[in-house]
Formats: sequence, structure tokens, C-alpha cells
Amino acid sequence: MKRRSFIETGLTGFAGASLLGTLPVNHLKGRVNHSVCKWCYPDLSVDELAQAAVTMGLTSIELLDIHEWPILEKYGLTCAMPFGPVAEGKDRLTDGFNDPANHEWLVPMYTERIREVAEAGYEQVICFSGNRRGMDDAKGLENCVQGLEKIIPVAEEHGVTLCMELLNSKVSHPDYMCDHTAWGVELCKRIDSEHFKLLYDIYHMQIMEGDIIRTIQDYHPYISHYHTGGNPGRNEIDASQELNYPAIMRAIVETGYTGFVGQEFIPTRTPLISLREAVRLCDV
Amino acid sequence: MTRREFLPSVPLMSAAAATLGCAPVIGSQNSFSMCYAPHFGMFKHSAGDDLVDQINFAADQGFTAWEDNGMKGRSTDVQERIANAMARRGMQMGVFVAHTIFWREPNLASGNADHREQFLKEIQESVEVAKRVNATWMTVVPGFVDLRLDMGYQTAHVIESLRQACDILEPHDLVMVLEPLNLHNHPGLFLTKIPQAYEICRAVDSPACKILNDLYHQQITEGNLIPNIDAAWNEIGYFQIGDNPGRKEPTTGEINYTNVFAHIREKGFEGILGMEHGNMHPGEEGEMALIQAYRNVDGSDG
Repeated sequence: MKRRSFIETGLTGFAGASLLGTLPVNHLKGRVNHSVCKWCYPDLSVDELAQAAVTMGLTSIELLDIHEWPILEKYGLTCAMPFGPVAEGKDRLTDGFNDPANHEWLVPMYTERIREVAEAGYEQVICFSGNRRGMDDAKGLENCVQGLEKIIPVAEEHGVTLCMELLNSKVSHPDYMCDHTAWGVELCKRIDSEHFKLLYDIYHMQIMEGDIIRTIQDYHPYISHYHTGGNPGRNEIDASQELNYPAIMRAIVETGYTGFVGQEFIPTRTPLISLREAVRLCDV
Repeated sequence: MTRREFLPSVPLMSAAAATLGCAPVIGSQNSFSMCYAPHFGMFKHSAGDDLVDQINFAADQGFTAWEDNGMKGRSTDVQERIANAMARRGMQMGVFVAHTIFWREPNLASGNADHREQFLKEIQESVEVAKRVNATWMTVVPGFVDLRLDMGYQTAHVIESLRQACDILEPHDLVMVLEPLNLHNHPGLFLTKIPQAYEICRAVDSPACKILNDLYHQQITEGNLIPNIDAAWNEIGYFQIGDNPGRKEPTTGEINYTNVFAHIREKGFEGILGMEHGNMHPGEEGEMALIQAYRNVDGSDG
């Protein structure tokens, strides 16, 4: 959908209210810090999403590159999960820490990025395992430890947490290595730092393993960020899919979680209305 | 599915379902849209201890089916009394457990001839029970893994036993439903996943051998409920229900049963969904809350 048509259709949902800036303010309970992933809203600029986010009570827009961070400042927003760096010709998801050949660019670039994240006043940065490409999971763990150990002292020094995302390897990211909670938790244990954690993506893990609430209860000390998404389809997280998000959010809050929950679903309806509904659903 | 899409199909579904017991239960105006099956004890605070009173209470509430894991262990008299009560209310009988489940040692997976004989003998006995209580489905759990055998051999042994069981069941139009169980509550069992059950049912290739998809177990074991329902659809003969964690009624955990049920209904499922879970809250109030939870997620106005 083109931006123009979005604004037109968006307006109809609010009975003539100006879409950006005057959406009804969500009265949120304050127990969940709400964030949203920019890539799910390709027809909105960061500025436009930021304006909407503020009116909805979100305090973060995430998965932004470094050149986009300054935009957030004027809206008083943070970036709860900034993108990490990626070398020319490499893919940030498939070329990761599990392959020592990538360490020669990952280590210096992440070292620099961690400093930049800290300077921006942010607290985390995302990272990825990379694809298996025939490598067994045990070898991948060893390789990840070897590469990450060179960066973790920098992260600790700057108070920044490296957060590796758990992704599904069945539907969205075939062959991605960090596709099970147990593998990610083992990596956390081996690295043994408060500055290396997991991004538990509820959508991805429902595809791979289910048992969401028990997994969160058992492993929340190793989790520093959550993503949402409806399964199947990765669309709205409401009654159109198989997970009961309010129950999952209550379980997260009960673990004492103080981080952010990032909405990462692809809207099928008017995007900002879907986002507002998702935030309300997760505001337990 | 939107309301508009759902409504026109209702008369068709009801007509087809009449033979399967999904028609409105006799004496009740508010039947659920699908055959959810409670079990003994679930409504004992509201209905009292008498088994027939419990069945009648459920029928009054709009439930059109019932299941009883322990049916085989009841006396013939009690079985007949239960069956008569259900027939009077037009209720459909759900599963009972067909055979001795080996929770700690391999039976079918091992290929052991004595264990196979025992299994087939018990299936034969279950035919008589099924006839007596008007049941179509019976639960089969293939037992513990055989740690001494590669999985391929175990699978082949299980398939062979099930094929022989089908020879017993097919002439009577009875169906054994294979139930994968979760490894959190039942570590070490052979059958754990829907794709695995599908593989076995395709290999057995008989209308007498289908999958019992217990959504509680599968949410623990593998998640991805709706995609697995779709992928294994032609081999799924029966569902069981329970939210996770806790194994209580829908709305008490992480599964969005409103949509899972809508999906199953939309696919035209006319079988039974057994309520093989506990009550979230105690006493009569808990029982009413459970019934209300089913009304809320059923999507019907009943």
C-alpha cells in the first residue's frame, strides 16, 4: 500500500481525526514497556511512526539503524533494540557469530557499535547466530562463545547488553541456528555475563517449540527482550491466531520483567489501528 | 472466519452431524456449536455424585458428548446405565482407553510378540465395550520407547501392531485414535508429535487408525497448533482440550481457543473434542465458570 492510500484509509478509522498526532491516547497501566519494530510499517517514515507511537503510549521504536536513532530523540523515544552492524555483502541474520570467518568483521564492528549504542543512551543491541550450513549445534556454540567473548568485556564496560534473537527455522529463516531456547540458554550459561541475553520471540518460538509460559518462567533470567506476532501468519496478535497474548504478558510481568515488549507483527488491517489494539492487548 | 461466512453453513453442518450426535441435545435449547465432551467428576458439585445425574446436567447445559477414560473398567451394568442415559439425551460417546498403557517399559515399540498379543487381545475386548456404550473411538497410547532399538525399527513394530488391531476394528467401524503425550508430564513415551502420528497413520492406512490430537499435550511438546492441525487434518479423528500451563479449561492459559475452535469448526469437523482437563476453580462456582468459558470461546450464542 502506498503512503497516500494508507493515510486516507487510516483516517476513516478515526472518524475524521487527524491520523498522526491526535490518535486517542492509550491509557496504559505502566507495567509493560511497549515498543514497536519499524520494519512492520514500511509505508510510514520513522517520524510518522514516532508520532503515532507517542500518542499510543509506546516509549520505543526498535530495529532501527544508527542513522535513524537521532529521529527518536525529538519524540522522547528510546530504541529498545537497535540493529547491530553488518559488513558489506553479508547478511545480518544468516552470517553470524557461529562462523569464525565472520568474527573478523563482527568483532571490530560490534565493538564500535556498542560504544555508539552507549553514547546514544541505549542499553541493548541485537545479534544473530547465523545459519548452520551443515555445522552441528555444539560446534556452533563453541564458535559463538569464541567470537562473543571478545566483545562482551566492551559491552560490560559500556553497560550494553548483546541480545541474540531466537528465530524459527521452519517457516521464516530456514537453517538459522539459534532456533531453540535450550541452545540459546546454553550459550548464555557459557558466556556467563549479565550483558549477554536472549531475545525471546514468541511467534518464532511458538512455531519451533510451544510451551511459551513455562519456557518464560523457567528461563526469564536469560531473556532481556520479547517480540510478538500471531501464529500462523505473523499478523495481528488478537483473536485471529492461536496464542492468548494477555496470558503470556501476565506471565512475563510476573517474572519481574522490566524490559520492553516489541510488537513485531505484519498488520493486515489499518496498520496503526492494529498496533494500538496490540498494545492494549499486551498492556496487562 | 467471519460471522457471515459461518452462518450459512450451519444448516449443512447440522444435517451432516445428526448421525454423529452433534445435533442439538434432547431437552436442551442451547447446544454448543461442536461436540465438547466433559467427563465424570467435572460437574459433581452441580450435579451430585450419581453418574447419570452428571450426564443429564451436562446435557442440560448444552453438551452433546461425553468421554470416560475408565469406561472399560466399569461393570457391564454401569456401562449400560451410562449408555442408556446418553441415548435418552441424544449424546455422543467419546473415547475410553482401549488397552493397558505401558508407562515405564516398551511394549509395542519393542516388537515383543507377547506384548503384541496382549495388546490385540485387549483391543478385541474393547470392541465389546465400544458396542455396549455406543462408542466409535477408543484411545491407544503406543507405550514407552525401546532404548535398545533405532527409532525406525520401533516405528515399524508399532505400525505392525496397529495394522493387526485394524483388522479387528475395521469390521465393526470402530476407530482407535493414537494419542501423542507431552514429555514434560510423560517422559519417555514413544509417540510425542503430530508429524510422527501422521507418519504412522499414513503407514497403517486404515479408517480404523487415526490421531487423537490433544492440544494441551501438543502445545507443550511442539506448539504450532493450527499449522499441525492443517498438515495432519486427514488423519485427525479426535481432539482433546486443555490450556497450558495448568491443564485447565480454555481461557486459563496461553492457547487462544476461540480461534483454534473456530479453525476446527471452519474445517467442518464433526467429531468430538474431549475436555480432558481439570477445573480452574473449585466447587459449583468453578463448574459454572468452566461452562461459561466454553460458551465464550465456542463462538455460538448457546
